[in-house]
Amino acid sequence: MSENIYSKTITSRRSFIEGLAAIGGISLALAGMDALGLGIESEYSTPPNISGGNGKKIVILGAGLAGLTAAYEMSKAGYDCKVIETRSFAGGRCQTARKGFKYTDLMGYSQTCEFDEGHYLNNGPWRIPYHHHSTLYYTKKFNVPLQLFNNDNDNSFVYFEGGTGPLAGKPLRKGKVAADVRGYTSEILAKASKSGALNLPFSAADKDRFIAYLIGEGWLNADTLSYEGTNGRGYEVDPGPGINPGPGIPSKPYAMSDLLGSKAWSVLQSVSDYEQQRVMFQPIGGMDQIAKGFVKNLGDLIQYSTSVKKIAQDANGVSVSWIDGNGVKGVTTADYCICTIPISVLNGIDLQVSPAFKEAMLKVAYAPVNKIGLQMSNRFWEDKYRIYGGHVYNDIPGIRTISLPSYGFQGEKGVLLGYYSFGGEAAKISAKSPADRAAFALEGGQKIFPEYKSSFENSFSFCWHLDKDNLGGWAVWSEEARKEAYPKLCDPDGRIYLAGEHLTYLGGWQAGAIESAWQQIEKIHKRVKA
Amino acid sequence: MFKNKYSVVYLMASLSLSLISGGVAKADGRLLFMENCSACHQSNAQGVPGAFPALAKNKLVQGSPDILVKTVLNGRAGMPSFKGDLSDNDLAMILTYLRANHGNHAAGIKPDFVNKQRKGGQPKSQSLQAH
Repeated sequence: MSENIYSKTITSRRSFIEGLAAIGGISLALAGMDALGLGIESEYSTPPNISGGNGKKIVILGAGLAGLTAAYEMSKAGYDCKVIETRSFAGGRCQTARKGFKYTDLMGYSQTCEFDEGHYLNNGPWRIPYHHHSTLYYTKKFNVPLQLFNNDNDNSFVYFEGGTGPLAGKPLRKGKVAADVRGYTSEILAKASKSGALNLPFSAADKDRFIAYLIGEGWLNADTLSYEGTNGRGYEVDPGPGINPGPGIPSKPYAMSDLLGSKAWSVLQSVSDYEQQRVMFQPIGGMDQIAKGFVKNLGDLIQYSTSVKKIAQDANGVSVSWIDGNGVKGVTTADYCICTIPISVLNGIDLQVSPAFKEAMLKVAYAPVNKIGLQMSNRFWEDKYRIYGGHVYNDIPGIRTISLPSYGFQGEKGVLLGYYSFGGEAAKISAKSPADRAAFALEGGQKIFPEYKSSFENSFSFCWHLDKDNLGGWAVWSEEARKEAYPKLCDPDGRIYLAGEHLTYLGGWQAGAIESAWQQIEKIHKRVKA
Repeated sequence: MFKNKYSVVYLMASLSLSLISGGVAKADGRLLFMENCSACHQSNAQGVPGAFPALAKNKLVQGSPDILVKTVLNGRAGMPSFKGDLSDNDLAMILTYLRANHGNHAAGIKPDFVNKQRKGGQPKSQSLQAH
């Protein structure tokens, strides 16, 4: 396969793509198109074009983004939709804690968010890569205003305790580390190329171009091919007016061996990971603006504060038994069911599906995920350190990422993300009380910012595995489960169709929830029209 | 300064080793259980009905050690893999504590045994990354 991609024997791109589709289905064909740079819109950048639902009844379980998408598109196409939602609000994981937001977790800890007006924490999704067409399709459609989310800030700190030498355990500016590590690397490569020490796999002319590239990439002295620092890593004394500071005083690079010992280089990559783009967006005022956009355009289809107790089906239809917030029980019947309940929760609901389907459901795990918002009395990260948004990556277990807000720049206060951690580390910190979680977060942040503890005002922490309606941040598929269980769950069981981030390769992203819904409603529509 | 730091780590390591051999593992196992497991399975090991199974008087906990160890290492149903989070020593202490408490009665588990189960298991799933 991979040989073919680069082979010159391909007669046409079209036949190649058709070949991919035959072997791997439409998704592989789409990936192939992306790889060839055809710039074709992905099949899943717009919802399926469906119409003529003729009042067929659809019951949708869960008003997260998958359920909201299904309800919006299907009701628009003439289906008679009803959404059952266990929370008192729509959005699912697309939720935002701001002043007055109340939350009780499975440990029994109750919190009420006390952030000042205008400040918030996105408990769940918090950033949208520019290539998540599906999410951006709805933000545009529903006029949800966006702002840039700073996902990579060279002036932010990186902090690694686990290294050795004089730079270990010290906050370092990411840009300084990047300039120096890449500068020295380029120097070594350029000098070795020049001297002929490297057996380069290209011509003499290409060798000159290669060295020219390294001079530019690493800011090398063009004559000596040495890295001597560069103004991009910042100054000892910034340039300014007159004679003093005048041209300023350039900064001196760190020593390569100190950098290597520090492990700070582990944050450097040639380009960002596909999902971790530099250009990301966030809705102004909180991620839940997306859920609100759906609700505004959906009409009165959602029955809130209603828990599903049983999902049954026969040859003619589906019936969903529920109990609402007042203890009133009821049954909703429909032709088809789109169930977006996370499988972690669905495993505990009486569900009438085949044994094989149930067994497949047990193969997916859910990630323990923690977040904490810390309200600070002042924006020391901006005022003192000139860090405007971005992340402080670190190797403190249970913290890992501290993020500075991409909104409210130069305001008085700010809410920063005090930790964002997963797996066993998250399970550990979540066992603490909310006050102890905050204390833990403050200990970590204090190592990087001396102003941390003294600026702290209040906190709001969220543990997704301890939320009874999610029991985990997102689905985690082992390779084996992805191969065997996943395809079974992507297919319907009778009249029940599952949808959500868990049934995509965009796991944990809102785009996954939306596109999974698009795919399933298209399947139902085809079946209805058959 | 760095020398001092290392000697402290060394001291701690030898202390925890002596705890196992000295038979004080119960106290340490309990502490590790509280730290790593109690958020979901609760400090009394009673779990949360419909969400997280009780580990008290539990068949799996008292059953075959290799299945039990593999379950924690590789995950099962909603529970993710803890392979990267717990050392052989820590996991042995947690399981030894669990198998002797909360209405469970089964023999302890040694770090060497955990280590053997760790090998040949499925690779750590990849979805434990930032979104």
